[in-house]
Amino acid sequence: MKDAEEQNALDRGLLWASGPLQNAFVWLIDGAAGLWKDYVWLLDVREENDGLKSQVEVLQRELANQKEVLAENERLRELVSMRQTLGAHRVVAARIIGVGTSPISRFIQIDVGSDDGIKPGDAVVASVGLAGRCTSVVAAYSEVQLIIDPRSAVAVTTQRSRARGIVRGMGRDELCKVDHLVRTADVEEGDLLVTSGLGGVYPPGLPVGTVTTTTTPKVGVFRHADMAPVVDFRKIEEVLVILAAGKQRRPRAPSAPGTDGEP
Amino acid sequence: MRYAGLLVLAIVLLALEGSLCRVLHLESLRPDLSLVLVVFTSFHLGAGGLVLVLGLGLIADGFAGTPPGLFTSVYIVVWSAVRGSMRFVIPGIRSVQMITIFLASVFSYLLVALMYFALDLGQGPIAILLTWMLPLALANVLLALPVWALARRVLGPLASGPGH
Repeated sequence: MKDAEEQNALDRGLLWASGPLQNAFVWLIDGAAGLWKDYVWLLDVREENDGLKSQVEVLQRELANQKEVLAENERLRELVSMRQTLGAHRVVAARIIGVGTSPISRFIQIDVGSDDGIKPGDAVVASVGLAGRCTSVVAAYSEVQLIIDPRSAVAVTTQRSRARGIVRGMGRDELCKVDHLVRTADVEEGDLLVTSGLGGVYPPGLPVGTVTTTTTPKVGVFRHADMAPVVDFRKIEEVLVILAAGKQRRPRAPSAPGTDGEP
Repeated sequence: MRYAGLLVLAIVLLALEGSLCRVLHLESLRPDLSLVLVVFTSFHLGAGGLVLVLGLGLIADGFAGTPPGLFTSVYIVVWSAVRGSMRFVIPGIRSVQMITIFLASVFSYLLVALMYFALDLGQGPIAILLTWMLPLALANVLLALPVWALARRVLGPLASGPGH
């Protein structure tokens, strides 16, 4: 490196001459590099981009599948939890394969039937509560009348005050009505209704829904209530069928003298 | 044999509809494809179509889970009404056919509501029918074209009534 005093006229001349040239070369090189980077190299980038896009699509599909598996896993976990609460009842897991085609009735078809031990009348539960009961059964499939069907009636009792009533479907997914609640029944909004076991169709204690509104007419013996089912019928995909043969009788209290005991 | 084919078509269509409704969650928007076939039968087949209508009604009752015979009796009334009205319209015109399906659908839903009322089967279904009647009738009209095309293929030369 020369000191400033050592730079002679030749050096300065070279610098004067080469400066613009180098500047031009830099411009050219940068331009070429830019051209390469912005155009020629982009051809590769485009291919890479296409590859990445397809990879993203694959990953998104896998992610969606994973989410689906997770959701299914969660539903099945809840179903297993319900299975455990059912205790000694024999149950069969089923997948919903179709729904009734009428706008006013609420039925579903499931992929288990008489070959699996299902019989008409068997209770059907979802992960959180009662869904309905089997009405017709063939070898591998069954039809289930949901509790929201207008012709469905379920004997219930409030979990808190043990007031009894009958839940009737209205053909709507999110609302049922509760009939035959005696006028003096202690029923409040938010009360959980569970199956009473009366009638012998449904095992006692299965959650059915929560009371949303209550009305007491000025005259009459009964008061009325509306109920939101605990089961979201728009979302259920799997159910458990409680086999009639596996139903257990409730333990009976010892017979009082003068009353009929079980033979 | 071709009549049986139309019944098989109805079963396939209703099974497909049931599976789709399971996924689509369209509340009460469940078109009545068997009614669409009933109107087709009224247009394209003679009095012998009544046998088909009976079959379609039984199939619809089976798929719908409604009281037995409800759709069967409603379909017979609708079929008779449509056949009776054919004296006053030109059944071969597409728009006439579509309007007929719409009116037949509304008529059918009103009849079902009336029967629910008469049989005291609850007010819920009646409210649903009255709320959804027009969207359901429109859905029936929209689905009529593909369903009728399939029905024509199944029936072949038999589908040569006045509506052809």
